[in-house]
Amino acid sequence: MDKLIYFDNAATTFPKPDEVYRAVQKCIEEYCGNPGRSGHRLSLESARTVYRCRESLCSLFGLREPENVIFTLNTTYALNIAISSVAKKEDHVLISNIEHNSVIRPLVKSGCKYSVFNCFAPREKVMADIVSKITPKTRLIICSHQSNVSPLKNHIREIGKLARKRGITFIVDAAQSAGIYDINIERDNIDILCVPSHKGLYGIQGCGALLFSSRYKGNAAAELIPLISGGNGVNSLEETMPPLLPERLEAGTLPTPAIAGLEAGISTIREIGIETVREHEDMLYRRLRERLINDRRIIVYCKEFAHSNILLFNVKERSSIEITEELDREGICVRGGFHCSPLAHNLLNTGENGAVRVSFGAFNTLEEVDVFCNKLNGIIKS
Amino acid sequence: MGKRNSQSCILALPSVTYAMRASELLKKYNISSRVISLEPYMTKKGCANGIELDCRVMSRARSILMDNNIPVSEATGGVYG
Repeated sequence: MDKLIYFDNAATTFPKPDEVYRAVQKCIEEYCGNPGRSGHRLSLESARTVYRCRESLCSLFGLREPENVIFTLNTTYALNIAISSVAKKEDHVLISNIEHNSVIRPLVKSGCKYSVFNCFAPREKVMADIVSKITPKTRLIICSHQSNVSPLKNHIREIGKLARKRGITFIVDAAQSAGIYDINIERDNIDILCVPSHKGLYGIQGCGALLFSSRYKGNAAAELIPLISGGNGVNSLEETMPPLLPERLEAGTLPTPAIAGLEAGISTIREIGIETVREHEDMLYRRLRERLINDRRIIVYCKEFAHSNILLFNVKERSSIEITEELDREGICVRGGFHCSPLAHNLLNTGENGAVRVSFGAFNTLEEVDVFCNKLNGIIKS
Repeated sequence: MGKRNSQSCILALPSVTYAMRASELLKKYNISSRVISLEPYMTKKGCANGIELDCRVMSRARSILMDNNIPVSEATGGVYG
């Protein structure tokens, strides 16, 4: 069988840098005690790893206080903490039309009213649309930085500025953009940022983070409610979760090996350069787009976008799942269907078929793109 | 604050995260410290962390931490040894 081609990096990046594998293995083999529980050397070494990772995340996203970093299971968990804490039934919330179910579902569960703004428009129109939808009850704006199915992005800096001016809390889902675009929480007027370990930061699954700005810090302790309660090594004689963050929102044992891997992942991509990774992925996108865009058998969505790391397409009269299955038989991993993003698929009018998503990562190559195109051509012909 | 021996003293912090932050911060001021678990009788709420450091720099360390908004609390209890 030909070498495996993995083009599903929007789901999770694969493979990981060697440094990440080594960091995870070292943790498990040499020192993985339970961080923050005991005073013995393994527990303290694990606690140091966790703390260093908080510092790394601060440095990457423009924060100064490591206690503003809350470790979670993944981005979805982080978004759930943020949305369930802040959005109340009587509130109004604004979201964009590329939001993932990790935003939509907890929002619907909260019972609050929400409006959707269109991000697939020139910047001025997007901002005007947002302004027109703000009401006196608008409490929250939530948006993905980057769509998980297309090149579409939200102008988070402008939206953050507007939210700040209007006294509206601003949450950013950076699941697809962390490690790929420069995000600075303070500069971009973000109140809460939610990120995964296992995508653009090249850590392993089982970890994510919620980060909040120093401006929001005053609200955070009062507003952010733990999704779960339990032991965390602090104030054991008390029946309630401790008041101070981050431990207030971190019940149970933290995923220390995953956190060790995340720290190594952050270090690696910073060494390579976030911009270098993005430019590499963009180059792959441009090659694929160039090869598919004029093929009349194929629909390329958002084809007007010259730059991205995600390309969404359909083969006419073929189901997206069927195409992904045939590609898998050829050793190529992509994802078909709706990608947990009903709004984006509705926006792009992919229909009842969904679509095939190709999402690049740092380890993909131009040769792989060419092999993909040749295999896809073979599948379509057959 | 508690005392371990005649030369080392302990500052209580609200969590291991703050204890780590305190220790890292003091390192920048050339003050050595060690993150420890606190004895139960030193805490009101059970299970907490602190930093152990030389008593001679205690006052300065405390100032630095408070200036940097790191909540330093008193570790109750008597002398260890």
